[in-house]
Amino acid sequence: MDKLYEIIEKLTSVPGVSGFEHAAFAAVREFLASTEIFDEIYTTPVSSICALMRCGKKNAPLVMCDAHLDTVGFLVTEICEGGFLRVAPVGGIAPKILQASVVNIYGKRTITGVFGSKPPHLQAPGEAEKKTEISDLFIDTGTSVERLKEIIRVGTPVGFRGKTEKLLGTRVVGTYLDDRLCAAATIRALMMLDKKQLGCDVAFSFSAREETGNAAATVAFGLEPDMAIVSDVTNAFVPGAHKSREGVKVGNGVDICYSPMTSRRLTDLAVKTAKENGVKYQLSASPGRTGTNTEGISSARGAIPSVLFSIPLKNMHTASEICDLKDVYETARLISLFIKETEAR
Amino acid sequence: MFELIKKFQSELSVSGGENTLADVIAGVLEPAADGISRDAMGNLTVYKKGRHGGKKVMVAAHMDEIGFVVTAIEDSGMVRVANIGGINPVASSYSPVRFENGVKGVLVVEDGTKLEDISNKKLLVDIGADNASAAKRRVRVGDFCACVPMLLRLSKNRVSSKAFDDRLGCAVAAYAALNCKKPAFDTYFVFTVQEELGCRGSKPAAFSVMPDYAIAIDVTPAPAAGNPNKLTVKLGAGAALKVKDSSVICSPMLVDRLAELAEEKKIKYQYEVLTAGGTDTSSMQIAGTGCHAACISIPTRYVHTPVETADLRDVQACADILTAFIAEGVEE
Repeated sequence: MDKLYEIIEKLTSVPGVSGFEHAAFAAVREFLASTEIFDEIYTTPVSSICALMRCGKKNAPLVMCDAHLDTVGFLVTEICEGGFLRVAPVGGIAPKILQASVVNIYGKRTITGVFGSKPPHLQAPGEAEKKTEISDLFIDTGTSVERLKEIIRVGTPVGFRGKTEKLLGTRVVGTYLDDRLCAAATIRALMMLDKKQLGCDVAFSFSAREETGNAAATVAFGLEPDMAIVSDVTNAFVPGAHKSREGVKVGNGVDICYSPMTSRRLTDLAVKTAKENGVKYQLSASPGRTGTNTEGISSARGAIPSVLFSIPLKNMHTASEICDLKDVYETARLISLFIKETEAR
Repeated sequence: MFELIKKFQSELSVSGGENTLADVIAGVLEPAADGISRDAMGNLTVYKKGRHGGKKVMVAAHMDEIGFVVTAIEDSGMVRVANIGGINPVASSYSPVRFENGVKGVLVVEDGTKLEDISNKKLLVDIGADNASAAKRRVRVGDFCACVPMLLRLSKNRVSSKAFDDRLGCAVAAYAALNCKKPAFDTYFVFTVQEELGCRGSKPAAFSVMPDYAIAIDVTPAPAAGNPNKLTVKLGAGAALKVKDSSVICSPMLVDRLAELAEEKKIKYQYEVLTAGGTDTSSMQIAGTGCHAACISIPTRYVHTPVETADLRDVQACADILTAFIAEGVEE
């Protein structure tokens, strides 16, 4: 699990606001190369990174393992007098978490900003109860508008600033755990495999633009895999959440998802694999499109049978997302076992 | 440019019925094309051979406009219609309309409807028929109609018309096709269908071209008085290079390239971040294995009303950037 934490720390330190994933290319490619398990690493025009692990056998089937590279964030919409910025969200972000939080502004160079917040002393009665919209908020950069305009422009991406840290026990808090956790789990899973012993090739797709679309479909189109293992984070139960989420808890293992987007045959097989190997797992059902890359991948080309493994996460889409390392480790184990289990089929 | 705009905006081209406009555009571009084709959906592709082989550029401007389709003919002879695309019922009501077969009518709201209750469901077309059988002799269920074209020149540079969305885009693409004698790469100018219904035409079109670089040309809302929606573009401030709309985040590499060309050629430009709306950019970006996609937007006020208003200098700036890109391409 120490190895796993190292990978998480490494991957969460890299920016990658949805649509601007190229900022992560150099660091991620270097890291993937350093693992020495991949035979080929390339990037795609839609900013995904793809790493291939070949077993060396002719006509081997191909398993695609997807986790998304991009994160939620913001784009600058206006540079105002006094060094203030207005922004629009990229992906789903709740306005109420933003006031007084620190952000990185990825201009010609990266600068620091802080979402402005009106202190309670200055607020009119009842103002605190009013609903805030992101378009009402501003980022304070502490510099002049002239200076700012040299560094940033309308459309410059902005991301949360945070650090990945261990809480007590095996819990971890961090920024961008969605979905770097799953990338870490996948890379760890592939490290557990001896590729020469495998009967299939494996493609790790670290795909772009999940928070804003379904661009993983383009990676699947290019790879033409025989099946796909998609991993993403899922909202864990917290007090006050809807009853339907009660079954998904941080610390209870990898979440295996049944949905119209996923293959029932493969999902049943994943559950069986988990059971037989003592992988700690929980089940969930998503009646719709799952809100993950499974949608785009499963319907790419002539349809690609897919499974969805999720890691329970608290405080999703904030600078302080919380997970349990054990869940990530169980996810890695399941991915690794499942690749071995399915290769022959 | 103004001649192209005039020619294109005078056609009726509701989503799904773009053939007449396609004929007009094909006629204009024929002398400049190395090949012209149409697909089963009606997308018109004008191909120009490039200096270098290998890479492909796709330019998309949509031919369709929002409008109405006849759903029923009432006993009174009034014609019940449903909207095709995002109609603003308040802006469209009490306007003259024209059917594809030339029948004229006026779009009205059901009697007794309160101002705040006006919706697409309350819209009817009065074609001057006394009863159902008289009406049925002139229109039938399934016929399309749209606002009557009229082009107003408000001032030297400001013009107003229906369907500037996206006839201006068609004019910009056509201008580039006519004025760029030697494209850098093989270039496919695709005049797409059914964009207003969810970018439908550009999907198969992009799939068959499989471009390396894609550029959509479409309008983007510009504020008039007040700016309640925090729009980033301004009318008259130049071509708008799209960074994002709700359907796409453009390729940062391609956006930078377009800005670089604009700087070099001293063409006025601005950046656009739009939190709503979608364009053909998204379908091109994720067709097949995906490509570098961007969008040059034409700032336009009152989009989806019969009086869409644009600045001719912005339109020309869009055309100049597109022409420069087609001529010079991009190095990765």
